[in-house]
Amino acid sequence: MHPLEEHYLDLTRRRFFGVASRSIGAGLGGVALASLLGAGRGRADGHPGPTMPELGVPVGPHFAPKAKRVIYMHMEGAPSQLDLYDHKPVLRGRFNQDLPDSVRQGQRLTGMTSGQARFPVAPSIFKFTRYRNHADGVWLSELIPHTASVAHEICFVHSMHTEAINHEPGITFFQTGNQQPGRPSFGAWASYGLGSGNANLPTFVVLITQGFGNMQALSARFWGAGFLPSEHQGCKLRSGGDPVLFLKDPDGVTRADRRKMLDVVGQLNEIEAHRSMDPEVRARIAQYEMAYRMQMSVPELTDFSGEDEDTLNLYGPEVRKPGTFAANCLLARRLAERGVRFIQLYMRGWDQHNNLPGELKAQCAAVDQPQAALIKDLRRKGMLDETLILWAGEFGRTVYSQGTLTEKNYGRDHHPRCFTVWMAGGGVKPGVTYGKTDDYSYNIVENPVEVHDLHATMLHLLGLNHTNLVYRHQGRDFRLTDVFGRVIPELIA
Amino acid sequence: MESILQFGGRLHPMVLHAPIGLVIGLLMLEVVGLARRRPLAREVRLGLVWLTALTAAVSIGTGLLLNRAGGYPGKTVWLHQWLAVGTGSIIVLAAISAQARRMTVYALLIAVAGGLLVPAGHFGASMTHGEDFLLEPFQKRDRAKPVSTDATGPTDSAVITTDSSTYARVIAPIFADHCINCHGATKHKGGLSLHMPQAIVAGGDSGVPIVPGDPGASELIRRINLPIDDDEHMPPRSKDQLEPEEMKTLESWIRSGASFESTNDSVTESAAATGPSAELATGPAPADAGAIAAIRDRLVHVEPLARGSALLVVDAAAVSGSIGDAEVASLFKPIAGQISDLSLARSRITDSSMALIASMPNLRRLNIGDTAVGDAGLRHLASHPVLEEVVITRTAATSDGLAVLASLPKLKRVYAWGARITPEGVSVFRHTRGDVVVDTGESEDAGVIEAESEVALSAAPQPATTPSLKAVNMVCPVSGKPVDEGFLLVYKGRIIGFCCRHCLGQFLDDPAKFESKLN
Repeated sequence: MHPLEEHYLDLTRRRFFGVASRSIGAGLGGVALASLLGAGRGRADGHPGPTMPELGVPVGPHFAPKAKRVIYMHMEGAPSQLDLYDHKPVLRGRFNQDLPDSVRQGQRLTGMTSGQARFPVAPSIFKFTRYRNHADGVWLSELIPHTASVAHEICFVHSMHTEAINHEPGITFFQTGNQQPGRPSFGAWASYGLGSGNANLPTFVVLITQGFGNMQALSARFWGAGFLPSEHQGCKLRSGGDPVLFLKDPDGVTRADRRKMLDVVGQLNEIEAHRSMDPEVRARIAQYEMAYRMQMSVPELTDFSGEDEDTLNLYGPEVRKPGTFAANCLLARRLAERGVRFIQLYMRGWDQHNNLPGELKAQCAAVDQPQAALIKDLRRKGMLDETLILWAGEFGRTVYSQGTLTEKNYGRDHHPRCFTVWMAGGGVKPGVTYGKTDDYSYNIVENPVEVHDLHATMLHLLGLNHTNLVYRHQGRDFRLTDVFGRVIPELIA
Repeated sequence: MESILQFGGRLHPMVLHAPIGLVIGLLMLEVVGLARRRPLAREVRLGLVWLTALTAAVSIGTGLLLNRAGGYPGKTVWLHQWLAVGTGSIIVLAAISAQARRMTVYALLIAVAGGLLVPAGHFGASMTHGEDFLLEPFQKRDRAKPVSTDATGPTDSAVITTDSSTYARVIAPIFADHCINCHGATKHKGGLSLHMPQAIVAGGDSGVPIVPGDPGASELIRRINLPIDDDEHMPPRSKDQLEPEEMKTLESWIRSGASFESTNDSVTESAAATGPSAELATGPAPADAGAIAAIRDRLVHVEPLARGSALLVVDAAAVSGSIGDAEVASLFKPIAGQISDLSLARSRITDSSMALIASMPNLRRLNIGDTAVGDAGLRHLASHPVLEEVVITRTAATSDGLAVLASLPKLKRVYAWGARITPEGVSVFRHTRGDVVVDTGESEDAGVIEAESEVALSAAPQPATTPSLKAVNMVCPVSGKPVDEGFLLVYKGRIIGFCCRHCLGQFLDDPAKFESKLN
């Protein structure tokens, strides 16, 4: 917004308190209501935020996009790159040797292993196979044979690194570009930048699958809108039973009654929106309307009866069980098909500090076939080229064993210095690998990629210039990539 | 240190004006003094001439630092440097002569210095502003004449205007106007020069800027189309920007093969109509706002292809079940000219909507998957001029329908999974259109190149992690437990071992207490 318009619209603290006290009777009551509506977003200063775009009018795309939407599979807990993607055969001959100091270089460890007397090298006990892709092939673990079958569609980034060493800040960093909570999530930025592609469904949908091992808390703020208008926040569909609570109107309430009620509430809210000039009131009206439309659209969305047997088999036997990764992958395809911009799948339980081989096997068995099926299904429906898929954990795992190391069992601690993520579709260069790590998968030796770079590259594929996708808050322009980020051309087709 | 040197170099453009002004001022004062027969006071002259010498020395020094950083082309910088060093030396000599009261020598030297300043300054300025900076206003007028063989005017003209080709008359002037100040014979930022064909073809640090026939793959086109505040956008934000017409012209010249010889001007005029960025620049007229509002009222999604583009992306996914032929006709007819990407997947349309769809002149991507459309409908699409991608998954289309699509000149991809197309139909199509990818959903799995047989873990002998530091004691002097080699301390020339960090700390607190136990 132009500074002059901003000034014209300006709501000073004094004006806000005045207006609020006149309409509600007490200044403090007004503040309380505002903070209730803003879900604790600290709007009590009454400033509407200078960039107050009309609801639903996106700011982009800045240029013709390659991808229309994102499916972001976040592997909460951080999967081991050493046992899945980053093949280090040389380590097989260094079983139980100490990790050389020249490799560790005194880098920080978590409190869980910093007290260990030694750091014995734990080579992966899983067999690797080299699969054909569009470059010189890619080594993948026996745990992910289905994913390997689409290796030629995937761009593996072996040189990802992050700043955080623990889950909470790690996930927050990946989701919002900052380790401290409070910034808008990637999906919210995409919604703000591109707007909705389907007026009957939320723009940003979150689906969660429970894992088998150690699970970390998943806070709702991982898909929050931060300081962006709250219409951009992610909408979590529940994994068991009804995906959305209270979808059905109560007995005795007809659809027409519901409509009439919403119209009256909408008029009241409209009066309030005029009086308080708080954009959150408008966001709330929009959310009521969205909920009304979702009463119709969600049952259709989650009803898999229209899918043919062939498709269901592609995703594997678990697909009929709501909440499994297989069911969520199919749901992701159906959401993508219906124009939802940002679909985020969380798979929990990758935090294998102990008993890694057994737990990792179970985790991979749950995700491998569905994620490969998603790629195949999107491809044959002609949607892979316009759907950007990201598969990533919040960091990697250490080459040394946490706890007891045997020839059959080991655990791995958090390792932010290097790990593997992969992308597919949506204008990503297919069938290549990018970046290299050292023999111990401990440090990056070639083409490091930081989280901001990944964000910048993905926004670029969505037709958004990451330096231009800004929102003014607390007196300065904020970006998903903050003041960092570099589009990596080598990852782009 | 490096940054200080660079900083010093960058002071050059600032300080260099001081000696120039001083020399000119001194000369004028001396001339006026001579004319009025009231020569300058000795103190004034000495002060001025030494100040001039000092600033000249500083200018030369910073200039050498600037040149050290590189980026300036050979001959001009060589001339500038030695002319400047010469001028500077002469000024110093002049100062010495003045000091020694050799007034004739002084007068001669200061006059020569004034004369040398002109070429020295000129070569310096041509590196900064470009060789044709001074005379440009006159030459620009010449260039406007369309078929002049000396059309491009500036110093680089000798190379680029040897013929009357399209390149020389149309393209080179655009480069000359916007590019060659930084990417020319004198300066070649990013290693790139665009002042002559050989240089263009040689490319720069980012590779060859143009790919003949493919504007989309050409770095030059990509750069000029980037948002203006993108770091890679060219020309830089602070410079004159290309006109849309000029961008279109460059693009069509590249599309037509980027020939340096061809004189076929039509390529730069008609071919400009195709290609996405050309249309972003010109494109169809914006769609009627009322028509778009009507579509949005029906919850059909409409968005511009990119900000500022009149082309539209339309997706009926939200309400596909309620979109049939009647709705297609009423909703999309008014924006038929603007639709670039249309998705009607899972809708209730039939073959009868296809005539309208086929009439959309800018339609590049069409998704009619999971609809009742069949061969009769696809026949309408025959020879569509710009359609690139068609999705007919799970439609009633057969091999005959697929065969129709072979007539689409721009077609790149067909998604035909689940349609009624026979393998023969696909192979016939692939035979006629080898350039088109037909995806029938039976993509092959990635093949295996090699596989590990068995995972055998082994522990090669552990390399010594610490050089043989051996404690003199076997048991911890504090606790009496066995020594752990991880906790060693050099104390009074001996290496003492402990069982743990804790004991080591205790020992350090009061060595005397435990020392006895070591013996």
